[in-house]
Amino acid sequence: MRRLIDCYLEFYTEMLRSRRCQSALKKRLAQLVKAGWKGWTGILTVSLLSMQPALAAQQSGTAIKASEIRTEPFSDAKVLATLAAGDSVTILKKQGGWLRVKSAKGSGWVRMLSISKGGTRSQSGNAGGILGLASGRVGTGKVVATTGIRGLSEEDLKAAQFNAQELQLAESFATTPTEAQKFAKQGQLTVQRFDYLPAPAAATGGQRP
Amino acid sequence: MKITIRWFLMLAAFGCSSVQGADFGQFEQELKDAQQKIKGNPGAAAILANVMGISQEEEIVIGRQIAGNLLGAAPLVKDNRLQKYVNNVGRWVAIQSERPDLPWHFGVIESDDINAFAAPGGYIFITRGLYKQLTNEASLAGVLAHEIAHVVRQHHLKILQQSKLVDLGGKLVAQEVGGNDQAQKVIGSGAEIVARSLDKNAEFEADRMAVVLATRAGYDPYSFAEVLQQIGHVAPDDGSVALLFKTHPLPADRLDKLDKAMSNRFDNVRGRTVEQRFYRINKK
Repeated sequence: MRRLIDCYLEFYTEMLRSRRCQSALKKRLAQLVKAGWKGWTGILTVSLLSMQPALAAQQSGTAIKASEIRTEPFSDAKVLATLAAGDSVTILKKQGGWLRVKSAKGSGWVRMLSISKGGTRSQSGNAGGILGLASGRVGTGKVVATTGIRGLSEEDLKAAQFNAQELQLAESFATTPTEAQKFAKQGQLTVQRFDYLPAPAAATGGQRP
Repeated sequence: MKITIRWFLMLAAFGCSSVQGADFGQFEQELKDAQQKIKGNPGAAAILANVMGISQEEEIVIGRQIAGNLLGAAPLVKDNRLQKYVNNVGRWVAIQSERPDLPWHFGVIESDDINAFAAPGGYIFITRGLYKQLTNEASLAGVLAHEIAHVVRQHHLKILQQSKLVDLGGKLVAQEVGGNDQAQKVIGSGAEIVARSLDKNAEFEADRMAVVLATRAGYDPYSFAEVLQQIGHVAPDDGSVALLFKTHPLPADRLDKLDKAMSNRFDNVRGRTVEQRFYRINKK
């Protein structure tokens, strides 16, 4: 068991060190399998791969307004520093509506919606961003936009002709409420009570700029 | 005023023509009876939706025509597991709305544009281009929830009504096969109705509702905002967002409004992102 934990930590540090963690991981796993760790390698693979997004999600961002850096991801946590609009940060981690950031003014938690992540990218290039990182899509290389790009313009929509066959196909995939309940249960989704939000003008007590 | 309309509709629905000459007590009793009937009768909800002179049945006929046209412009992505998955997520979210019993349909269509469309009656489509921007089930739920909100609030039907396209003259009757000529007259040319801009406030409202509907369904409330951030990273002059940005406020504006509306209200919500079973679309 001790050896297993050591292995685990080794993977962890190796992944942190190397951007090519995928190949390193595969290599180490192969070694482990050789060493007779067959039963455990599956579990290791799954747990390490699921850790990967969190580790890889390091990205730059910019404060889009004055925002407090707090010690913890709660609105009543202690304020460590205040970012000004335009301050740049490094995003380390995401948790709910909060981002853990590193900045010249200090490290801590900032509201996700106060930070604009990365820069502007073209869709035809690599639309990465933190989401791309999280899904492991970064590093797949630039996708060159050439043929095969199929738009859906206003003109296309205006000229559209009814397609009965496609519509029937679309309708054949309908999910019943019972199926949906089962699907939710499988995903461990439970219903929360939550009222609709008032429009911001009311929400901020009429303090609209 | 709203209540008056409701009662009027109830009376009309159940043929309570005996009001004339009846004493007030009896009138009240009849109203109570009508209310009782409506509670136990799902069909009555359709009649209640009839505020704009369009029944739920007609709304579905109109929506179905728009959906068929939209699919004529961009067919479904031929991936049955993907389509079923999107219907599972969509239906689960739609159940959390005020119109759980509509015959909801969801689909992913072949287009590299980043966009999503809602047609009356519960027909919702997102493009392959938008789907590819998503990273987990919660973000898909958020996008579908925004469209569900348009259907629930009948935003597109209201446009049809404002432009006086809805002048049915006769009743729209559902047809099993093929397009519906009468419905086509109502919606104008092809599926142009889905390319129309709604009022900005309708979009902001749909954003706020999206976050709440996804939250109710047990998803992470912030995943929808992440999609908006992600779309905001696409260069505005990129063709893939041309129609989306033409018909919607820009992501930065939407995020600003959403931030103010959400404030710290979701701090105690522990929703799920559901990354493990998120269906990854095939590369093309």
